[in-house]
Amino acid sequence: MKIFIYKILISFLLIFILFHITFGYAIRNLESKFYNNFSNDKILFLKDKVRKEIIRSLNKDKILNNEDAELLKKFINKITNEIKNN
Amino acid sequence: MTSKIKSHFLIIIFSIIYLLIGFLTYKDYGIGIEEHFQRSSGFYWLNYIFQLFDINTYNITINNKIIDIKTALPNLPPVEIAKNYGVLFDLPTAFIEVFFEINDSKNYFHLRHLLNYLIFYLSGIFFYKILLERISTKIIPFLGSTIYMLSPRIYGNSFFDGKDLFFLSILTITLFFFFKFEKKKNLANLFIFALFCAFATSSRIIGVIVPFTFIILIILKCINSKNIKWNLKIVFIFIFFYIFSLYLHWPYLWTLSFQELINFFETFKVQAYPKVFFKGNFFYSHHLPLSYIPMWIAISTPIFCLLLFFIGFTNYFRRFFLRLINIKEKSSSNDLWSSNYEKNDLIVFIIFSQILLIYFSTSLNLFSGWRHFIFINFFISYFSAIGLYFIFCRFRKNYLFLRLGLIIFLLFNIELIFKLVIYHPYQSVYFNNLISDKDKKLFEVDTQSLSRVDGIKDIINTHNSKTNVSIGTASWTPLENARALFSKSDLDNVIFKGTSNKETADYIYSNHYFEIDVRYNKKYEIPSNFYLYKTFSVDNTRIYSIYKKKN
Repeated sequence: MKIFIYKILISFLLIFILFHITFGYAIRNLESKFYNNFSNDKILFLKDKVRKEIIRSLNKDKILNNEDAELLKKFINKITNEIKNN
Repeated sequence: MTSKIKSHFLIIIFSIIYLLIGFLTYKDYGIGIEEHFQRSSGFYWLNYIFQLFDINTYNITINNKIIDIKTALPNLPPVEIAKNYGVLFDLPTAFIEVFFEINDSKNYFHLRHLLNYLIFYLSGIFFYKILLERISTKIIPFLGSTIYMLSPRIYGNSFFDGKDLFFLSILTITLFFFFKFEKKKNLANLFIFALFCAFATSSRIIGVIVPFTFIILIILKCINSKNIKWNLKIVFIFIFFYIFSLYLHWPYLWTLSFQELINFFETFKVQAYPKVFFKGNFFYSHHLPLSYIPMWIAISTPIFCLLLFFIGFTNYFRRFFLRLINIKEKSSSNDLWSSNYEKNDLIVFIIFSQILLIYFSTSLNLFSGWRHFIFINFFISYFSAIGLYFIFCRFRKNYLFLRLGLIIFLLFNIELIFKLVIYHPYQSVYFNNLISDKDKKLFEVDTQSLSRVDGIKDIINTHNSKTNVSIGTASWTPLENARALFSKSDLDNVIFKGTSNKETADYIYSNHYFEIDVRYNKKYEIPSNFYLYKTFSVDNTRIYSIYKKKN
């Protein structure tokens, strides 16, 4: 009986530890990566950066180089045609 | 008497020197990050108790103190956000402040520092007594106590950390009474043990682990013993004493509603979620890597203590494992221990294992290094002493080796004392030699914001003029809160600009401790019209920097 009680106690403890060093550890790692990579500060920083870049580009005489302008023109035309035809 | 002095000669000499150094240096330490809040908490509870029992003697003084705190520190969070702690240290210190009419801010903060230090010293003596009971030589308990009391981070914190380090002191004293009860089982010892368990719980909620361990021990005894009735009786008396003393000395419990009692542990969760700078990256305090506490302990505990701890812990774990696999259905003694010494080791081992389980299985909200886990110093020191004793027993007959070992230990201690001296009064930011000088910048350093006082002094000395000087802050902790350690005349010409107006200041102080990710959030960015004027470092560990406005 006594040995049975010890075995039960140790088994529960081992299962608990095993869970935490395998699944628990992996889940916590993922959680940590997720939360720390999408932090509020980072998102605000990126938003601000995009805003600044747009403002900066508005002050320029020319935003795109000729090749990119041509490429975008073709792309937008194609998209517009496809939308019209549908 | 003479023989007693002779047999404890080393610890007596050590105590005299230790206390003397403490008395001579306690005024050198700055204000810790939580000291204002703790003081405020002390007056909150003092006021509560005096009002509850209708004691009017000090009403005006207490109310004036509370108003003073609110006026001088408008940004200090209200006590209501964390009113669960502080009754054991903050309330008596608040009472002393009122009773002895200590009104100079310098004096009441120095008093707190001195009291905290003395309580820690007392716990060191209890630790020595624990080791004396466990180890049959005099020298090893002495050496173990020096590890407990001289570990730099612990020594540094012993002056200003009235919460986490105070808990370490209380935990050590509680464990002393635990072992005392196990050695001599009587009602008085049980009551004192239950009382200290209650003190440990009200100091930090993790203190609940000690009464829980007592119950585990009783269960282990019951598995083996025919005296189940007697053991159950002990548990019930203990629980009664524990809850009774907990309720009696902790006014926080008197204020709880039934609903709050049901969610009792919820209120102990830290509600702040700052960003933590760790290994060169920023993490949310509740989503830290698992390596956070182990890494901090590894880089800020003297290396020889880590080695001795490893030897002591593995040696005990081996013995525990052997006992476990050799359990027989019928045995005359207990399964997991045969003597009181071994039982004490088992108790420490069970508590330590529970701490490890809690740490590795829950997402704790941690910041400021291993401050919240500073009580682990008890376990590091205990197993280090066991490790030393193991080495001693192994080479007992080899005098040459023993002498050599003692010389090596003394050399390590000399290096430790050297570090304590050069770090003074910043022992709480100590790093060992496992970390390079370059890598020290990848960790938060002055997390207790001790350097604020020295930073202000430095700027006043630099400015050296009768004209006003304005100081901005680029740090999470408000610089102006360090005013309490200055006399009014010292700060006549000083204007504190805070963080948001720092660009208009003459100087900016930063201890490089932030609650945000400074790579993306520019709250603490040093304006371009400032240049780095001075950096104060200790042992190549950067403590604080001062930036000066360009002319």
